[in-house]
Amino acid sequence: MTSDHPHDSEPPVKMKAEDLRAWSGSEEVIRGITLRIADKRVTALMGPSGCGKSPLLRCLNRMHEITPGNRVEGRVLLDGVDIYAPGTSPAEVRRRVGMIFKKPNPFPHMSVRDNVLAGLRLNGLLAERPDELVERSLRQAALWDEVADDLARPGTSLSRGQQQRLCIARALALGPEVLLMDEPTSALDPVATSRIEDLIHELREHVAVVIVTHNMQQAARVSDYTAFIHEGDLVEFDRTDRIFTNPREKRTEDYVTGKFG
Amino acid sequence: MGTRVTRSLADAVVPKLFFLCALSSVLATLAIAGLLAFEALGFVQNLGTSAAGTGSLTSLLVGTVLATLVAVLVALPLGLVAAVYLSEFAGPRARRLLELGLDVLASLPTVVLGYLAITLLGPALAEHHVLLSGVALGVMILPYFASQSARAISAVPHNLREGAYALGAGKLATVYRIVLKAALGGIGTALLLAVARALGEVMILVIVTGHAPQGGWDVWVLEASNHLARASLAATIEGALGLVALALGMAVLASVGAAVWLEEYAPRGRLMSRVERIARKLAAAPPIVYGLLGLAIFVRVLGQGESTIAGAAMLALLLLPRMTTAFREALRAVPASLREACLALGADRLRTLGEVVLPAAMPGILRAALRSLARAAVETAPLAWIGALALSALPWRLLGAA
Repeated sequence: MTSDHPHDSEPPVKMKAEDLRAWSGSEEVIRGITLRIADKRVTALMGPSGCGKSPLLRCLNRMHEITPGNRVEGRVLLDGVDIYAPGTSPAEVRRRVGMIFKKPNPFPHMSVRDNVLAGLRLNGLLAERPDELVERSLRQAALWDEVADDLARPGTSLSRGQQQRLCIARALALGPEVLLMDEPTSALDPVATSRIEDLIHELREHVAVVIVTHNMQQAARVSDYTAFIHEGDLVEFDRTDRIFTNPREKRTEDYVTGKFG
Repeated sequence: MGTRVTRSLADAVVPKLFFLCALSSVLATLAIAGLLAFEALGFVQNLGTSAAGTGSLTSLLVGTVLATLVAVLVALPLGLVAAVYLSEFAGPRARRLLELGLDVLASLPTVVLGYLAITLLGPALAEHHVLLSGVALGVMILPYFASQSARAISAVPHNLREGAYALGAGKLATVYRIVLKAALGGIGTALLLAVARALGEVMILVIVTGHAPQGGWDVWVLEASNHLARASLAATIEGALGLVALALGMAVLASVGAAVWLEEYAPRGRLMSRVERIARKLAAAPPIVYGLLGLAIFVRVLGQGESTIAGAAMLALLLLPRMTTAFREALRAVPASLREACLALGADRLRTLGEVVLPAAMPGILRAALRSLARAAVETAPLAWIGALALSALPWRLLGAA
């Protein structure tokens, strides 16, 4: 289990935010954050609600800007290339950096199978072997065994936990390099939550995962690195074990010991 | 003690009064609907025995189907483009303006739009009867269809759009492959409702004006509208205020009573809920239906003896079903915790109602009262302007006589 210990060998950097600032309307929600996302590791963004962790996540695949009035400044490097450079297509970025949302959002008019293939269809692409891709994606999302007998049923007929894993399969089908998860278990019960957390462990073999959570236990359970965000600032960023046992900042310590938040 | 006796008397009598209000509301609705059915039956029979015999019925049906097809061809693409632009692409200011414009157009009686379309296009398309009918019908359904579709499209949950964007889909692909597909049901309903509403309003005019069932309905629209350019606007406005105030007073009182009984006292049996559901569906019909048919009842029953009180009573009757429905929503919006708090303090039902529930619901009730009056006025008034109401049984005429 050496791969569970990130400090054995420093992993390569997959993404890097440099002096990132973001506004929701006129409110500055990210105030100059610099952050490294390690490849094939899980990075947790943790903080009290309203601290800016969701906008930060949404800046990493250019989803923040789809709300009218929102604005982003600074650079976000993906494999060393700025995704906010002029001429970069946001759609291209989003294909490489997938996203999972708080509430599962399978497309209601599509079957389980079509939901998995939706990313390709939406981009006007055709899968060479669609059945294989569907099976592989569903297996990676730990859903295959539960849905294999009837792939034609509507995606919305699944349970909520299954729907969320279907959304993960849908994102994986595009072969993303990074997977962003915005409180992916906040709408799920404990059993479904633990299945998703197990899944996150498996996913880090293939992709870099960034997960937003306000749940400290979850951050401690699933992540290799943790960033503690407060009022739009990055207060502390370190290996998860250090953040929870030996934080350097007073604010981090207060948060992880439950004094606020 | 005297007060206790009065109190128990009130407890016994007041709910019965509420019940009478509720009964009159349901009866008014059913009576209006019944009359509509009766008149429609007469119309169809008349059609069967008219000179051309059954041939005219067939040609009427074929004409209507063809016209509807043309109308859908006209309205579907235009309406969808407008709806998609409105809900997905328009900036906030453009959206507000467009929405307002569409809503105003959609709240006009469709006959007004049809009349305009036929007068404008009539010379160019006089040769092509079906085409003219179809295009006019298309114009009639367009605003309502567009505004309802825009609503259906806006109602598609935002997280589906985000899901598509996060997969790298462009705006057009997202709209076309996700949003429109998810809104398909709503768009279909909008189209059906728009067509049904337009056809229904024309047919009602034709029936009530006692038109000979000849030609297509486009002819009817035109003739029905031509019937009366003589409606005197000045006379209409004269005395209107007093009458409207009187009618509003009566309607509000009766509707509050009806709503209170239905919400607070009605037994929750199956028969009750079924009758009530029917009444509510009927109350959702366009007010023009009530306007025209209610007036027909009024004139038939009361003859020419028009008076302010009778006129106001009739107007109140027309307002009753819709107002009752709206007031019930207002009553239902009062949190149950308020009622419980009051009952837990030992207050009886009537007390709770008078001291807590009604005051809490009052702003909603007032708003609903104004809205139903405004809607009824907006939907019937333009008919008087283009003179589409050839009836001696016009509320506006009554207003003049009052």
